[in-house]
Amino acid sequence: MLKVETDLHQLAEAASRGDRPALDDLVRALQADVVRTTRLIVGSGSTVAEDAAQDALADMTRGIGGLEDPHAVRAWALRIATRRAMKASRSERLLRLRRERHITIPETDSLPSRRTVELRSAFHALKPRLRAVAVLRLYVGLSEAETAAVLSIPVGTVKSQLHAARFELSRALTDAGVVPATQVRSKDRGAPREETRH
Amino acid sequence: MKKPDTDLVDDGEITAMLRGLAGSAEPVRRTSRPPRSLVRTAATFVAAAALLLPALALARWVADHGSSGSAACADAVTFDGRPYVGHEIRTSGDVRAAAGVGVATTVYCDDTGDTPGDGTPARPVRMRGVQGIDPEVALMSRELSHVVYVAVGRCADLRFREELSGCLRERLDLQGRRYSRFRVHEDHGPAPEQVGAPFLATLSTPAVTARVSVRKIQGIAAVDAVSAEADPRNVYVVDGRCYVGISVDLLSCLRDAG
Repeated sequence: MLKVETDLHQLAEAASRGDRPALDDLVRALQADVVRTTRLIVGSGSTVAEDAAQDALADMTRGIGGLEDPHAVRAWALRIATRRAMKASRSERLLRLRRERHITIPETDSLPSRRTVELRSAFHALKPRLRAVAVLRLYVGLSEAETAAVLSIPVGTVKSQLHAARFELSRALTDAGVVPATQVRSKDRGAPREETRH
Repeated sequence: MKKPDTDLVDDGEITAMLRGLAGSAEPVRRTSRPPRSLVRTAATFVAAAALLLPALALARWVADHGSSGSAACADAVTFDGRPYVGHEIRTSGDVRAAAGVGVATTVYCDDTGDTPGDGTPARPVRMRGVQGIDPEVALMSRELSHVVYVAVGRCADLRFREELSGCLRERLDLQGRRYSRFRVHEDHGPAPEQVGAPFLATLSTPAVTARVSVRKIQGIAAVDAVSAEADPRNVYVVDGRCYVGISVDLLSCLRDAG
């Protein structure tokens, strides 16, 4: 991880000085985080999300000269992705109302359980800001302080919004009658706890 | 009102759900956006093309395949912007006309090859639906009860002719999209190369609904087409793609579409 961060830092320094190959490598290295973060905040399966991800990558290319701290290049990229995603979420809502949204994103789960389907639906129904906090904390794996920096909000707000996201998801599952909780054991680095329930 | 249990969803479960949704590391659909000033001009051309292309596509299809099909080019029509070609129904037991759907237009047709301009002029034809089949897939006319008009590219392979009804009714549903079956035959080249992990789709036929395993085709986005894992030559194409292509052209058409 440290080696990766060091490489990113060096690439960012070179790219910000106008080194085009370094910029290409930097964008390639950050692409997965940017694309998936944007997609998850806007809504997987949305054409708007895919366009927003592409716009975020273009913003990175155009804005690299203004990068102030090469050590924080990942947070800078995630900030661009999050802003694009939040902006796109408004368009996405309009498209969803007009039923003009879906494309196929190959999924990891070939046959998700009903609980997972309900959870996904509830997640898409969250406000974009809550989705952003949840994605940055629980998928990307940022700390509360890092999430706060990316979203330009206080750490306390990150905590309260993540709690609100959990609460809304729980309420949606309860309303859908999906109980008891599936035992999910996270192996992801972004998951802050590992526990099972009965 | 029951208070939601905020412990019901733990962070690990949310993380797992998000990982399942994250998808590929690249934007799935690459689009370039023209400046707004160009959009209006382009829209004008697109509107004009939308009026002309179905007829042109149909004319091309008829020119390429009309002589081998069971219907003459006089049986070709455009309806609601889509080209259809007529097929004679030899066994019409389960193909029955439904309610009227509107008016189609025949294309100018001269399949005699004699005097230019000596063909049958285009004219309006009142159309009916086919029971149990989406009008975007097939229609019947009020004039010819033995002909079913099939959207160009749909079940167009002659080897499906005897099972036309079943083919028209077969649907694959994958993540909210509907696909139709095409067959890439051995004499049209190698089987499509499959890539990536298999995923499940729902296949519906008049007789059965089942979950089947499909895979992505090399060079073709899954939003455009997939192929059956058990038989890669069975290619399922999303509605609206490659109207003109039949199996010999299908894969190149789909690759161009991407």
